[in-house]
Amino acid sequence: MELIIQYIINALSLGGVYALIALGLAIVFSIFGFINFAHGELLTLFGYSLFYALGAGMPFPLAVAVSLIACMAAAVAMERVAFRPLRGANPMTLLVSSFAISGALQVIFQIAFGTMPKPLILPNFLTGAFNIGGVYIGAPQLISIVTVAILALALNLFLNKTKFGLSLVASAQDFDVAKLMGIRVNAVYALAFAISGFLAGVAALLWVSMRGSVAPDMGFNPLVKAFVATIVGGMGSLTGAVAGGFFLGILEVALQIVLPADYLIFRDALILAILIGFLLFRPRGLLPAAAMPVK
Amino acid sequence: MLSVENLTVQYGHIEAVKGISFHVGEGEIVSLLGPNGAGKTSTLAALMKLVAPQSGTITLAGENISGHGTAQIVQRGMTLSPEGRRVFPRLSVEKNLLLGGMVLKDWRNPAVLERMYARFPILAERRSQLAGTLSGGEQQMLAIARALMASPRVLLLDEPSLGIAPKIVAENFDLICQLRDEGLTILLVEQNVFQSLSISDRAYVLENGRIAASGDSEEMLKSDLIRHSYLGVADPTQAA
Repeated sequence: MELIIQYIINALSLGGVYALIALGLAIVFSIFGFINFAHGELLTLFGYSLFYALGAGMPFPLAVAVSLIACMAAAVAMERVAFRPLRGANPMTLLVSSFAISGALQVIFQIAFGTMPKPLILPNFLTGAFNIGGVYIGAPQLISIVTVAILALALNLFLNKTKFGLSLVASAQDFDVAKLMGIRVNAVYALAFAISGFLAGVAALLWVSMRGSVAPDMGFNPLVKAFVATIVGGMGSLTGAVAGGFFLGILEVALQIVLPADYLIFRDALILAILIGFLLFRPRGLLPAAAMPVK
Repeated sequence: MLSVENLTVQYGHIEAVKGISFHVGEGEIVSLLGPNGAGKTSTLAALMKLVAPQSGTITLAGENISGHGTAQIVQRGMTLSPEGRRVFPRLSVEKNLLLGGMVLKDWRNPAVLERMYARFPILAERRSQLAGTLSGGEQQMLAIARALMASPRVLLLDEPSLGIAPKIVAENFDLICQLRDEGLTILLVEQNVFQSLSISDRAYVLENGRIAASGDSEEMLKSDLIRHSYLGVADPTQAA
């Protein structure tokens, strides 16, 4: 019984991280119609920013805040420098550009910070574990679940109740008409990326507290998983992204349990096979957005 | 209230609007008529800066707005109810309306919403329904109401009768007259030539991106050219 609860918690926390990354991808996708593959590098950027901010002696909350701001600024800069000049281009062009940015950033990280992973010393409350009624629960897992729940609620409130949020939703549904409402296009573009950067930062914090180190390519693996999550959940649908993230987390933990040790190396291959299955038989995902964006 | 000088819109090498000039006086309904592809929608898109015109001067209430972006134009008091309604289908009626008034400082002001609901009781009934589930006529009402939320001085209407039951078309045209009587300036783009001439004060006829005719709506209704080309009366002598 205890073991089952532990598995469930692991699945939910891992799924939560994927859900956050997938949400960031989905917000950008809902407006621009492309998956930003450089999103994973935002996670890496957060990791290094946190590493050096802590190294410089900043207190932990301040280091996290600084890194979150850096992550959002980087996301907005990405849009401004790389995607805005391509405005109106085929989403495929944007997709390829995002690959280019991703590759370039990975190399820059390698040159600047070295290829070896750097151990991250995090405060105890992030790395410790609780023993609740005989069930051993890792702090990162618990924090992850709580954070994802709070963020999903906050995002929902933001999108439904605030002027900026409503502008974003309207732009995702019909960009030209959103302009006719007096919504400023550049502000919406920047906002979408800022939110995706923020979500990437929080996801990165949870991710590094689970893995305990930062490395130049640390963003790649979770990004691929989150990409699968957005496909499974239905591209452009925010609820779908969250559902897809949790689906993937549960699937990954389940495979971990079910697969014999010798076959564990095939876990990711199986997950990708499931992705292919979705692309073949249910290309619009579990909870598709009602209509694909035109642009 | 609105005047346009020498407006040209080009898509690549295709000139959709070829240097047209027209004006709409305060409190007037002016019809912009013409067949499909004449450049009517392109003209409206250029007025709202959804496309960048190659040349032309646009003056709104004495202010040159040629260099303004869409958001600024909306703030200056000109809004468009686009062709094909284009309501936000997966947002509630109320949110569609709120979006229409987004440029107002007090965008959540319930009094503004209530005034709009008083004018459109059907929308009040459907306020929490998704806009995509409304009938075509209701969606058209919502599109007009949404364009009115920003309290514009000039309202541009693109094909408000397209694909809508005749009874509702008549209601919508009554509404347009009523808005004019309240002092709103309206530029009406229509394929429904007879009905729009019946309610408008003046009209311009666009053909191949140029103004082919213009004048008093009443006189145009009687003119042979219009009867012949647009009202489908084959032989002008039969028109009695």
